[in-house]
Amino acid sequence: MTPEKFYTPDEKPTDRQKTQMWENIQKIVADRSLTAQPQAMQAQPAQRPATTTIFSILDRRSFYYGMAAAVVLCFAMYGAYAALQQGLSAGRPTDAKLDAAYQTAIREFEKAMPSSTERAEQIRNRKSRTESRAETFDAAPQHTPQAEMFAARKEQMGMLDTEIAQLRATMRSGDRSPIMQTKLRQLYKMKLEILQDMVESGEIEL
Amino acid sequence: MHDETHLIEQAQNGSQTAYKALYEAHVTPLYRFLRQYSSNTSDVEEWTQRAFIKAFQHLATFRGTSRFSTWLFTLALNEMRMDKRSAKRATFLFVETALDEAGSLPSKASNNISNEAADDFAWHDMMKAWLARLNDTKRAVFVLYEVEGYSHAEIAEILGIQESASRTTLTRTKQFLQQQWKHHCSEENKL
Repeated sequence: MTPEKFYTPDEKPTDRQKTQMWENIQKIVADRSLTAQPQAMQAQPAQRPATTTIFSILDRRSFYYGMAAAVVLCFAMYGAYAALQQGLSAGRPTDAKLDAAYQTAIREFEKAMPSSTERAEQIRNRKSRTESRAETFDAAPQHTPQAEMFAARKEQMGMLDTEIAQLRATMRSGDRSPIMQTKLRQLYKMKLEILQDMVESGEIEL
Repeated sequence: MHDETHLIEQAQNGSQTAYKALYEAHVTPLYRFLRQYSSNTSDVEEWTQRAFIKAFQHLATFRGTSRFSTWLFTLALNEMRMDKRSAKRATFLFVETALDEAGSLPSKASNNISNEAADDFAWHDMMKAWLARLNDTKRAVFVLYEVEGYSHAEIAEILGIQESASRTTLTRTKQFLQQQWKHHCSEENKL
């Protein structure tokens, strides 16, 4: 099919229209490229005709909309994540929640442990210095009751940790019987009690 | 073609005469093609001007791997799409979605699409009205192939679609027009 057959005369541009369009085009680009140095337009930003200013505004506006949408999306994702987490924790069995509570409490106490270890070392060192100054002939170093108590408690806690780890490993493998649960809680309780005693006796500085 | 390559080179070197010659050679085909998408001549003039301005501003990046007109039509369609999107009048549909539109074109299931059927196609002036009822992509494929003489590869480049999609769209558009024509003729005979 030929274009002549398809297009009607009113669909073709008139000479006047063509001239007018060319003049408009020339106005935009002539100053910049046609009369300037060749290839200069490569380095220059594209200039749009005056009528396209509205489109640049629309472009900018859609950019802002996009940014706002991204922020909203972030909030929505955070909300969904928080809700999911809450839902998951709510869905956890009571036993698991209790275990988690114990573990958290123990972790919080254990955070203070390095300071207590240092303190015990200080006590030991102080004692050693006193002994050497007195030039005693005792071969074995004499520890203070405080340091010995601390060492004993640490040993107890180490044993409890081993017990807890073994029990939890057994439970992970599928045995979550009430007896095991009770035993685990008792161990947690014992560990917490030791930690509490240490805090009360000033062995752990909080 | 050789002359056009020479003109482009001259325009790339800043020759205003060369650019005007390019403008003269392509303004009418571009304008009349764009005219299929709007009865408002101001809109069409706007798209045409903007396409030429863009082409000129980016002429240095034109490598000549495709025809200048293919590139120009691509730019013009992008300008038009941008306007239509901005005005919330976007009518460009994805070809696959468009093809499944109920009632417009024969569906894949109900019709065996064959090129033979499309080869029997004969144009009638009345078909223009039916063509105008189709979406922009279908119209563009038909006009660019049947009227402007672009290949499917070029149409795919201009419209940003697959070459196979261009072929399928053309065949279905022809079938649609033929069906409308047959229906029209049978109605005429009844009268």
